[in-house]
Amino acid sequence: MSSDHERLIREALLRQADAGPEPAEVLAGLERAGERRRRRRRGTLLVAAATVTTIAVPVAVLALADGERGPGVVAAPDTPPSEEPPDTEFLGETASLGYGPTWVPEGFLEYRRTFESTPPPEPVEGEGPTEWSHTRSWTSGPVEEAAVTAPTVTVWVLKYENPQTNHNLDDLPEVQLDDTTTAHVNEDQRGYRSRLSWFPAPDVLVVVTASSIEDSFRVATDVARSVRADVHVEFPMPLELDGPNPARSVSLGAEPGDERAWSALLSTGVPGEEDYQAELEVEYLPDRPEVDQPWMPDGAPPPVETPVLGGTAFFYAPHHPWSSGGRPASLVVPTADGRWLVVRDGRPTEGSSVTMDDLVDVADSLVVHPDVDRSWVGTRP
Amino acid sequence: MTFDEFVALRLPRLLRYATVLTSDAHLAEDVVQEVLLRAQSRWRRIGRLEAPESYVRKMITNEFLSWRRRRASGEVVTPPDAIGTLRERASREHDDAHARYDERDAMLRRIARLPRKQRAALVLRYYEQLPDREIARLLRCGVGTVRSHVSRALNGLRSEAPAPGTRPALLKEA
Repeated sequence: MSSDHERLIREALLRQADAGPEPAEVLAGLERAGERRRRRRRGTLLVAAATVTTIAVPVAVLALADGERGPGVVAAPDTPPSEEPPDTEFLGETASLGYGPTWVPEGFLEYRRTFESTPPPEPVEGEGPTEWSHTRSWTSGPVEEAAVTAPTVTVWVLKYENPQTNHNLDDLPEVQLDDTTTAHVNEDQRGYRSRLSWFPAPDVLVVVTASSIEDSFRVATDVARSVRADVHVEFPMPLELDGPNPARSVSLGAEPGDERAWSALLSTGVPGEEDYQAELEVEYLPDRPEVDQPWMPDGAPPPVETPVLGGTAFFYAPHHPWSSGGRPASLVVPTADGRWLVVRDGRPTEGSSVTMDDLVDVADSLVVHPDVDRSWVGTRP
Repeated sequence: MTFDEFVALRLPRLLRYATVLTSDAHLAEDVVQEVLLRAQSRWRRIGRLEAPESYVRKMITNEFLSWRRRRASGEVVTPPDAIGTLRERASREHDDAHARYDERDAMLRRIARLPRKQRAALVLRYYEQLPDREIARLLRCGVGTVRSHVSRALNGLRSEAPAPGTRPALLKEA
């Protein structure tokens, strides 16, 4: 590439910049949107306050769109009642799930949704970087045994940035899903676990897995045949980060039928750390987590109290973090609604250098939505 | 610095950056407005950062890269009215004295057709003049990936470049 060509690129980009819009329109848009948002917030606050009052559930509204609140802070109506009807629209980030099944077997209830938007650190040869993926899971057994011993159906959708030409699936047996769609089959020898993979679009891979099911191939095929493009199925995020570090993945899992038994998991990078493998995890749990395992090696220092967002959190220094039974650096934070957050080194190694400040940084930038929409839990498509 | 002060001071530059990134003034408006609304709600923290503008630019970059996902719409491309504007402008200024001007239009059209990450890497290197390491941080990828994006973008621009002296196809249609 000649320097002339590079100069032309620079000049072209500068010319494009000169064609930028005037600020006035954006300023007016900001004002209009700000007013709409203020009205919505007033409405949501009123609804939240009314819910707490009428059913006497000690659930705090931890995070709202104004970003001024975080774990440990209870929101209260701070504006006069609005004349407009309350708008209960969820104010956090929502991911559209894109593709989903329209059928799963009778008795299978949805218990987990996961959204991941992290590109891999380096592109895989022959593939573009992953743009996002999401997973939905249904089980007919106890959630804690799902995907292990309980019958489970999982639909995983992977969206690539570019159309894929090298699928790496060609060696697998095929099954016809319809007149034009062929899926590749991966089945264990006993038939209890089957996986069907296909590209409904050149840049979308769908993988349906049926596990711990006697006739798993038939179930996986029936589920796969029901998959449709559906941008209306959404996943409101239970946890968000509003600091410089983006979330890599967010999931919500729940026990159908038990309103309290739900938890959320978020993963992110270590602040200021360029190593992609380094990762911090945040869990939002109904009960205080057990950081120390009974089989942990002796000599672990006791937790240290540290202020986080106006409350007191507990920092557990790492102790043999890379060994089984060891303890990664962890920060345990009680929240105002009686639930608990734990922020920990998600991939501890011998060289882990995650500090208490790293964990506090993430906790400080966390936005929690305790009232996130969970109406999909315990349902079938 | 309050959020209002930040907007008053930085909005024109942010709009220029977003316009270069998106190749579309209307989309640039939407992206910047969306980002500023989010930044406003988080200003308590962003305003404390050493370089809030840098952080907001990163938000703009991410917003642009994820725009299709969020909107569930098609690829971000130069819209027909923008093409028309370019065509009109180019046809008005068609003499040899403006050949360089036309070349820039042609280059802009080729840049607008690049995949978004390649375009973002190109803009960050040639418009923002950032080092690859900083671009990698902004795009959340490795330095090697940045160089790969830029290299592919340059190859793509070179392979589409008209031979010297020929006029872009767009101008022939005008």
